[in-house]
Amino acid sequence: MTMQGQHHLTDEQFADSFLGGVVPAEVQAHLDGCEACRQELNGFAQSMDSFSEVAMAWSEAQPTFSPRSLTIGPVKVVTSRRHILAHAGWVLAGVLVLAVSVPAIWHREHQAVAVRQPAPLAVQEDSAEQILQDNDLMQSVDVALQADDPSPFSEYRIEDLTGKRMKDHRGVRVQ
Amino acid sequence: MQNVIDAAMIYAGCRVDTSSELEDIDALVATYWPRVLRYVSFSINDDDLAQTITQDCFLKAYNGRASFRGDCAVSTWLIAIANNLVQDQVRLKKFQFWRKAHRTSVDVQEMASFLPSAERSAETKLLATEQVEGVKAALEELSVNQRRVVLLRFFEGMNIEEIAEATGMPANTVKTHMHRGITAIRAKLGAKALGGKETKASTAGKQGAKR
Repeated sequence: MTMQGQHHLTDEQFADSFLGGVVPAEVQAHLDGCEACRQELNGFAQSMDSFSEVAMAWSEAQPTFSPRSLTIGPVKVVTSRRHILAHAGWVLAGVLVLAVSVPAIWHREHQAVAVRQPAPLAVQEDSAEQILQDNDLMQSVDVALQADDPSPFSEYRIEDLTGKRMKDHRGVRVQ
Repeated sequence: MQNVIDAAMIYAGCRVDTSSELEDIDALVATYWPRVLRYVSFSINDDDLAQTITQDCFLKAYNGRASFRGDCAVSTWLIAIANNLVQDQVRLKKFQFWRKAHRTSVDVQEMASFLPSAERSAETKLLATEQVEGVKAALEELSVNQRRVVLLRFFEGMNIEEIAEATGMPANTVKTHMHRGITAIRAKLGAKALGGKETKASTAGKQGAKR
Protein backbone atom coordinates (compact mmCIF):
# COMPACT_ATOMS: atom_id res chain seq x y z
CA MET A 1 0.00 0.00 0.00
CA THR A 2 1.53 3.30 -1.06
CA MET A 3 0.94 6.62 0.58
CA GLN A 4 0.62 9.88 -1.31
CA GLY A 5 4.17 11.28 -1.25
CA GLN A 6 4.88 8.69 1.43
CA HIS A 7 3.09 11.01 3.84
CA HIS A 8 -0.65 10.90 3.18
CA LEU A 9 -3.38 8.58 1.95
CA THR A 10 -3.61 8.02 -1.78
CA ASP A 11 -6.85 8.87 -3.59
CA GLU A 12 -7.67 5.19 -3.72
CA GLN A 13 -7.10 4.70 -0.01
CA PHE A 14 -9.12 7.81 0.70
CA ALA A 15 -12.03 6.50 -1.39
CA ASP A 16 -11.70 3.04 0.16
CA SER A 17 -12.35 4.59 3.54
CA PHE A 18 -15.91 5.38 2.38
CA LEU A 19 -16.81 2.05 0.83
CA GLY A 20 -18.63 0.86 3.88
CA GLY A 21 -16.39 -2.11 4.62
CA VAL A 22 -13.69 -2.53 7.19
CA VAL A 23 -10.95 0.10 6.93
CA PRO A 24 -7.60 -1.63 6.34
CA ALA A 25 -5.34 -1.60 9.37
CA GLU A 26 -2.60 0.30 7.56
CA VAL A 27 -4.99 3.08 6.58
CA GLN A 28 -6.43 3.21 10.07
CA ALA A 29 -2.93 3.41 11.52
CA HIS A 30 -2.10 6.30 9.21
CA LEU A 31 -5.27 8.13 10.11
CA ASP A 32 -4.53 7.74 13.78
CA GLY A 33 -1.22 9.46 13.29
CA CYS A 34 -1.99 11.98 10.52
CA GLU A 35 -4.07 14.96 11.53
CA ALA A 36 -4.27 16.36 7.97
CA CYS A 37 -5.69 13.16 6.47
CA ARG A 38 -8.06 12.72 9.39
CA GLN A 39 -9.33 16.27 8.98
CA GLU A 40 -9.81 15.88 5.25
CA LEU A 41 -11.63 12.60 5.73
CA ASN A 42 -13.89 14.12 8.37
CA GLY A 43 -14.45 17.22 6.25
CA PHE A 44 -15.46 15.12 3.28
CA ALA A 45 -17.83 13.01 5.37
CA GLN A 46 -19.33 16.15 6.89
CA SER A 47 -19.86 17.70 3.45
CA MET A 48 -21.64 14.60 2.19
CA ASP A 49 -23.76 14.46 5.36
CA SER A 50 -24.72 18.13 5.02
CA PHE A 51 -25.64 17.61 1.40
CA SER A 52 -27.67 14.51 2.20
CA GLU A 53 -29.45 16.30 5.03
CA VAL A 54 -30.28 19.37 2.95
CA ALA A 55 -31.36 17.27 -0.02
CA MET A 56 -33.71 15.35 2.24
CA ALA A 57 -35.18 18.57 3.66
CA TRP A 58 -35.64 19.89 0.13
CA SER A 59 -37.26 16.63 -0.94
CA GLU A 60 -39.65 16.63 2.02
CA ALA A 61 -40.78 20.11 1.02
CA GLN A 62 -41.67 19.02 -2.49
CA PRO A 63 -45.30 18.33 -3.37
CA THR A 64 -46.26 14.69 -3.28
CA PHE A 65 -48.97 13.05 -5.36
CA SER A 66 -52.32 11.54 -4.57
CA PRO A 67 -51.89 7.79 -5.00
CA ARG A 68 -55.60 6.98 -4.84
CA SER A 69 -56.36 8.94 -7.98
CA LEU A 70 -53.73 7.01 -9.89
CA THR A 71 -54.32 3.52 -8.56
CA ILE A 72 -57.89 3.34 -9.80
CA GLY A 73 -56.39 2.13 -13.02
CA PRO A 74 -56.05 3.43 -16.51
CA VAL A 75 -59.10 4.70 -18.30
CA LYS A 76 -60.49 1.94 -20.49
CA VAL A 77 -60.77 2.83 -24.12
CA VAL A 78 -64.11 1.65 -25.40
CA THR A 79 -63.63 -0.23 -28.62
CA SER A 80 -66.67 -2.51 -28.96
CA ARG A 81 -68.73 -2.16 -32.12
CA ARG A 82 -71.86 -1.30 -30.18
CA HIS A 83 -70.18 1.59 -28.40
CA ILE A 84 -68.54 2.81 -31.55
CA LEU A 85 -71.94 2.85 -33.31
CA ALA A 86 -73.53 4.67 -30.38
CA HIS A 87 -70.80 7.32 -30.53
CA ALA A 88 -71.11 7.57 -34.31
CA GLY A 89 -74.88 8.03 -33.95
CA TRP A 90 -74.45 10.93 -31.58
CA VAL A 91 -71.90 12.53 -33.86
CA LEU A 92 -74.23 12.13 -36.85
CA ALA A 93 -77.15 13.60 -34.93
CA GLY A 94 -75.03 16.58 -33.99
CA VAL A 95 -74.00 17.12 -37.59
CA LEU A 96 -77.62 16.95 -38.75
CA VAL A 97 -78.76 19.45 -36.15
CA LEU A 98 -76.06 21.81 -37.28
CA ALA A 99 -76.85 21.24 -40.94
CA VAL A 100 -80.48 22.22 -40.37
CA SER A 101 -80.14 24.94 -37.80
CA VAL A 102 -77.30 26.92 -39.35
CA PRO A 103 -79.00 27.56 -42.75
CA ALA A 104 -82.33 28.25 -40.98
CA ILE A 105 -80.78 30.82 -38.72
CA TRP A 106 -78.89 32.33 -41.61
CA HIS A 107 -82.07 32.56 -43.67
CA ARG A 108 -84.04 34.13 -40.84
CA GLU A 109 -81.35 36.70 -40.21
CA HIS A 110 -81.29 37.74 -43.85
CA GLN A 111 -85.08 37.93 -44.01
CA ALA A 112 -85.19 40.18 -41.01
CA VAL A 113 -82.66 42.45 -42.63
CA ALA A 114 -84.78 42.59 -45.78
CA VAL A 115 -87.90 43.52 -43.80
CA ARG A 116 -86.10 46.16 -41.89
CA GLN A 117 -84.98 47.91 -45.09
CA PRO A 118 -87.44 50.80 -45.96
CA ALA A 119 -89.21 50.50 -49.28
CA PRO A 120 -88.24 53.20 -51.76
CA LEU A 121 -90.85 55.96 -52.02
CA ALA A 122 -92.71 55.99 -55.27
CA VAL A 123 -92.41 59.55 -56.44
CA GLN A 124 -94.12 59.32 -59.74
CA GLU A 125 -95.23 62.44 -61.52
CA ASP A 126 -98.60 62.18 -63.26
CA SER A 127 -98.40 62.48 -66.97
CA ALA A 128 -100.09 65.36 -68.82
CA GLU A 129 -102.59 62.98 -70.33
CA GLN A 130 -103.56 61.69 -66.88
CA ILE A 131 -104.09 65.22 -65.61
CA LEU A 132 -106.29 66.00 -68.61
CA GLN A 133 -108.40 62.94 -67.96
CA ASP A 134 -108.75 63.90 -64.31
CA ASN A 135 -109.91 67.36 -65.22
CA ASP A 136 -112.46 66.00 -67.66
CA LEU A 137 -113.83 63.68 -65.02
CA MET A 138 -114.13 66.44 -62.46
CA GLN A 139 -115.89 68.74 -64.90
CA SER A 140 -118.35 66.05 -65.90
CA VAL A 141 -119.13 65.42 -62.27
CA ASP A 142 -119.67 69.15 -61.80
CA VAL A 143 -121.99 69.33 -64.71
CA ALA A 144 -123.98 66.36 -63.55
CA LEU A 145 -124.44 67.79 -60.11
CA GLN A 146 -125.44 71.24 -61.34
CA ALA A 147 -127.97 70.07 -63.90
CA ASP A 148 -130.25 67.43 -62.43
CA ASP A 149 -129.95 67.04 -58.75
CA PRO A 150 -131.96 69.47 -56.78
CA SER A 151 -130.34 70.43 -53.59
CA PRO A 152 -131.96 68.92 -50.50
CA PHE A 153 -131.88 72.42 -49.01
CA SER A 154 -134.21 73.73 -51.74
CA GLU A 155 -136.93 71.44 -50.57
CA TYR A 156 -137.00 73.36 -47.32
CA ARG A 157 -136.24 76.68 -49.00
CA ILE A 158 -132.93 77.01 -47.35
CA GLU A 159 -130.04 78.52 -49.12
CA ASP A 160 -127.33 76.00 -49.74
CA LEU A 161 -124.32 78.02 -48.72
CA THR A 162 -122.08 75.03 -48.36
CA GLY A 163 -122.81 73.80 -51.84
CA LYS A 164 -122.29 77.26 -53.23
CA ARG A 165 -118.97 77.58 -51.40
CA MET A 166 -117.96 74.20 -52.68
CA LYS A 167 -118.84 75.16 -56.23
CA ASP A 168 -116.81 78.33 -55.82
CA HIS A 169 -113.85 76.38 -54.62
CA ARG A 170 -114.03 73.76 -57.30
CA GLY A 171 -111.28 74.55 -59.57
CA VAL A 172 -109.54 73.06 -62.40
CA ARG A 173 -106.47 71.01 -61.69
CA VAL A 174 -103.47 72.61 -63.24
CA GLN A 175 -100.32 71.00 -64.28
CA MET B 1 -34.71 0.82 -25.79
CA GLN B 2 -36.80 0.88 -22.68
CA ASN B 3 -36.80 -2.09 -20.37
CA VAL B 4 -40.05 -3.52 -19.22
CA ILE B 5 -39.88 -3.33 -15.47
CA ASP B 6 -41.53 -5.99 -13.47
CA ALA B 7 -41.47 -5.49 -9.74
CA ALA B 8 -40.83 -9.20 -9.29
CA MET B 9 -37.66 -8.98 -11.38
CA ILE B 10 -36.17 -6.17 -9.40
CA TYR B 11 -33.62 -6.86 -6.78
CA ALA B 12 -33.79 -10.63 -6.64
CA GLY B 13 -32.47 -10.58 -3.09
CA CYS B 14 -35.74 -9.16 -1.84
CA ARG B 15 -37.83 -12.20 -0.94
CA VAL B 16 -39.97 -11.91 2.15
CA ASP B 17 -43.53 -12.50 3.15
CA THR B 18 -46.05 -10.06 1.81
CA SER B 19 -45.42 -6.79 3.54
CA SER B 20 -48.49 -5.10 4.97
CA GLU B 21 -46.60 -1.87 4.52
CA LEU B 22 -47.09 -2.19 0.77
CA GLU B 23 -50.84 -2.63 1.06
CA ASP B 24 -51.46 0.96 2.06
CA ILE B 25 -50.19 3.09 -0.77
CA ASP B 26 -50.98 6.33 1.07
CA ALA B 27 -48.75 5.34 3.95
CA LEU B 28 -46.13 4.04 1.55
CA VAL B 29 -45.98 7.36 -0.28
CA ALA B 30 -46.07 9.38 2.94
CA THR B 31 -43.16 7.41 4.37
CA TYR B 32 -40.85 6.91 1.43
CA TRP B 33 -41.65 9.64 -1.09
CA PRO B 34 -38.95 12.08 0.11
CA ARG B 35 -36.22 9.44 0.09
CA VAL B 36 -37.02 8.16 -3.35
CA LEU B 37 -37.51 11.65 -4.77
CA ARG B 38 -34.19 12.77 -3.31
CA TYR B 39 -32.35 9.90 -4.93
CA VAL B 40 -34.04 10.30 -8.31
CA SER B 41 -33.77 14.11 -8.39
CA PHE B 42 -30.05 14.16 -7.79
CA SER B 43 -29.38 11.14 -9.98
CA ILE B 44 -30.81 12.67 -13.12
CA ASN B 45 -30.53 16.35 -12.24
CA ASP B 46 -33.98 17.08 -13.52
CA ASP B 47 -36.56 18.11 -11.00
CA ASP B 48 -39.63 17.71 -13.22
CA LEU B 49 -38.63 14.35 -14.59
CA ALA B 50 -37.75 13.18 -11.09
CA GLN B 51 -41.31 13.81 -9.94
CA THR B 52 -42.66 11.70 -12.78
CA ILE B 53 -40.20 8.87 -12.21
CA THR B 54 -40.85 8.82 -8.47
CA GLN B 55 -44.57 8.69 -9.04
CA ASP B 56 -44.09 5.88 -11.52
CA CYS B 57 -41.89 4.07 -9.03
CA PHE B 58 -44.60 4.03 -6.36
CA LEU B 59 -47.24 2.89 -8.81
CA LYS B 60 -45.04 0.03 -10.00
CA ALA B 61 -44.26 -0.95 -6.43
CA TYR B 62 -47.91 -0.89 -5.47
CA ASN B 63 -49.07 -2.79 -8.54
CA GLY B 64 -46.30 -5.37 -8.06
CA ARG B 65 -46.71 -5.73 -4.31
CA ALA B 66 -48.16 -9.23 -4.60
CA SER B 67 -44.95 -10.53 -6.10
CA PHE B 68 -42.72 -8.75 -3.61
CA ARG B 69 -41.61 -10.94 -0.75
CA GLY B 70 -38.38 -9.12 -0.02
CA ASP B 71 -36.04 -9.90 2.81
CA CYS B 72 -34.70 -6.41 2.44
CA ALA B 73 -36.15 -3.12 3.57
CA VAL B 74 -39.04 -1.68 1.59
CA SER B 75 -36.98 1.45 1.03
CA THR B 76 -34.24 -0.63 -0.60
CA TRP B 77 -36.78 -2.24 -2.88
CA LEU B 78 -38.27 1.13 -3.82
CA ILE B 79 -34.85 2.58 -4.52
CA ALA B 80 -34.11 -0.43 -6.74
CA ILE B 81 -37.29 0.19 -8.74
CA ALA B 82 -36.47 3.90 -8.99
CA ASN B 83 -32.97 2.98 -10.08
CA ASN B 84 -34.30 0.89 -12.95
CA LEU B 85 -36.59 3.70 -14.04
CA VAL B 86 -33.70 6.16 -13.95
CA GLN B 87 -31.61 3.77 -15.99
CA ASP B 88 -34.37 3.47 -18.59
CA GLN B 89 -34.71 7.23 -18.83
CA VAL B 90 -30.98 7.69 -19.23
CA ARG B 91 -30.98 5.21 -22.10
CA LEU B 92 -33.62 7.13 -23.95
CA LYS B 93 -32.39 9.44 -26.67
CA LYS B 94 -35.25 11.72 -25.74
CA PHE B 95 -33.76 12.20 -22.29
CA GLN B 96 -30.37 13.04 -23.76
CA PHE B 97 -31.97 15.69 -25.95
CA TRP B 98 -34.08 17.30 -23.25
CA ARG B 99 -31.23 17.12 -20.81
CA LYS B 100 -29.26 19.44 -23.08
CA ALA B 101 -32.19 21.59 -24.17
CA HIS B 102 -34.07 22.09 -20.95
CA ARG B 103 -32.93 21.01 -17.58
CA THR B 104 -34.68 22.03 -14.42
CA SER B 105 -32.20 20.85 -11.84
CA VAL B 106 -32.60 21.80 -8.23
CA ASP B 107 -31.36 25.30 -7.53
CA VAL B 108 -28.52 25.31 -5.06
CA GLN B 109 -29.72 28.55 -3.47
CA GLU B 110 -33.12 26.99 -2.97
CA MET B 111 -31.42 24.00 -1.38
CA ALA B 112 -29.38 26.19 0.93
CA SER B 113 -32.59 27.60 2.34
CA PHE B 114 -33.31 24.16 3.76
CA LEU B 115 -30.22 24.20 5.94
CA PRO B 116 -31.35 23.85 9.55
CA SER B 117 -30.89 27.22 11.19
CA ALA B 118 -31.26 26.06 14.78
CA GLU B 119 -28.13 25.34 16.78
CA ARG B 120 -25.94 26.77 14.07
CA SER B 121 -23.97 29.97 14.02
CA ALA B 122 -23.85 32.15 10.93
CA GLU B 123 -20.30 30.95 10.28
CA THR B 124 -21.25 27.29 10.51
CA LYS B 125 -24.20 27.88 8.24
CA LEU B 126 -22.01 29.61 5.67
CA LEU B 127 -19.58 26.70 5.77
CA ALA B 128 -22.42 24.21 5.36
CA THR B 129 -23.79 26.21 2.42
CA GLU B 130 -20.40 26.10 0.74
CA GLN B 131 -20.15 22.38 1.35
CA VAL B 132 -23.59 21.79 -0.16
CA GLU B 133 -22.76 23.96 -3.17
CA GLY B 134 -19.46 22.15 -3.65
CA VAL B 135 -20.95 18.68 -3.47
CA LYS B 136 -23.81 19.59 -5.78
CA ALA B 137 -21.49 21.16 -8.34
CA ALA B 138 -19.24 18.10 -8.20
CA LEU B 139 -22.14 15.70 -8.56
CA GLU B 140 -23.33 17.51 -11.67
CA GLU B 141 -19.98 16.92 -13.32
CA LEU B 142 -20.05 13.18 -12.67
CA SER B 143 -21.36 10.65 -15.15
CA VAL B 144 -24.82 9.31 -14.38
CA ASN B 145 -23.43 5.95 -13.22
CA GLN B 146 -20.86 7.55 -10.94
CA ARG B 147 -23.54 9.80 -9.52
CA ARG B 148 -25.95 6.93 -8.89
CA VAL B 149 -23.32 4.90 -7.11
CA VAL B 150 -22.17 7.81 -4.94
CA LEU B 151 -25.74 8.75 -4.04
CA LEU B 152 -26.66 5.19 -3.11
CA ARG B 153 -23.64 5.12 -0.83
CA PHE B 154 -24.06 8.49 0.83
CA PHE B 155 -27.84 8.95 0.67
CA GLU B 156 -28.95 5.40 1.26
CA GLY B 157 -25.94 4.06 3.13
CA MET B 158 -25.64 1.00 0.89
CA ASN B 159 -22.37 -0.90 0.73
CA ILE B 160 -20.71 -2.07 -2.49
CA GLU B 161 -22.59 -5.38 -2.66
CA GLU B 162 -25.97 -3.75 -2.08
CA ILE B 163 -25.27 -1.11 -4.70
CA ALA B 164 -24.17 -3.81 -7.14
CA GLU B 165 -27.40 -5.67 -6.55
CA ALA B 166 -29.58 -2.59 -6.82
CA THR B 167 -27.95 -1.29 -9.98
CA GLY B 168 -27.16 -4.59 -11.65
CA MET B 169 -23.51 -3.62 -12.04
CA PRO B 170 -20.63 -5.90 -11.11
CA ALA B 171 -19.11 -5.06 -7.72
CA ASN B 172 -15.80 -4.07 -9.32
CA THR B 173 -17.55 -1.63 -11.64
CA VAL B 174 -19.36 -0.13 -8.66
CA LYS B 175 -16.06 0.21 -6.88
CA THR B 176 -14.44 1.93 -9.85
CA HIS B 177 -17.35 4.37 -10.20
CA MET B 178 -17.20 5.03 -6.48
CA HIS B 179 -13.48 5.77 -6.52
CA ARG B 180 -13.79 8.16 -9.43
CA GLY B 181 -16.84 9.84 -7.98
CA ILE B 182 -15.31 10.36 -4.55
CA THR B 183 -12.05 11.60 -6.02
CA ALA B 184 -13.91 14.11 -8.22
CA ILE B 185 -15.99 15.42 -5.32
CA ARG B 186 -12.97 15.60 -3.07
CA ALA B 187 -11.11 17.53 -5.74
CA LYS B 188 -13.99 19.96 -6.14
CA LEU B 189 -14.30 20.50 -2.41
CA GLY B 190 -10.54 20.82 -2.04
CA ALA B 191 -10.29 23.30 -4.89
CA LYS B 192 -13.11 25.34 -3.39
CA ALA B 193 -11.51 25.34 0.04
CA LEU B 194 -8.19 26.43 -1.43
CA GLY B 195 -9.75 29.16 -3.55
CA GLY B 196 -9.48 27.36 -6.84
CA LYS B 197 -5.87 26.23 -6.37
CA GLU B 198 -5.25 22.90 -8.08
CA THR B 199 -4.48 19.99 -5.82
CA LYS B 200 -3.38 16.51 -6.72
CA ALA B 201 -6.84 15.23 -5.98
CA SER B 202 -8.48 17.96 -8.07
CA THR B 203 -6.34 17.09 -11.09
CA ALA B 204 -7.15 13.42 -10.71
CA GLY B 205 -10.80 14.24 -10.15
CA LYS B 206 -11.12 16.10 -13.45
CA GLN B 207 -9.73 13.09 -15.29
CA GLY B 208 -11.83 10.62 -13.33
CA ALA B 209 -15.13 12.39 -13.80
CA LYS B 210 -14.90 12.21 -17.57
CA ARG B 211 -14.10 8.52 -17.69
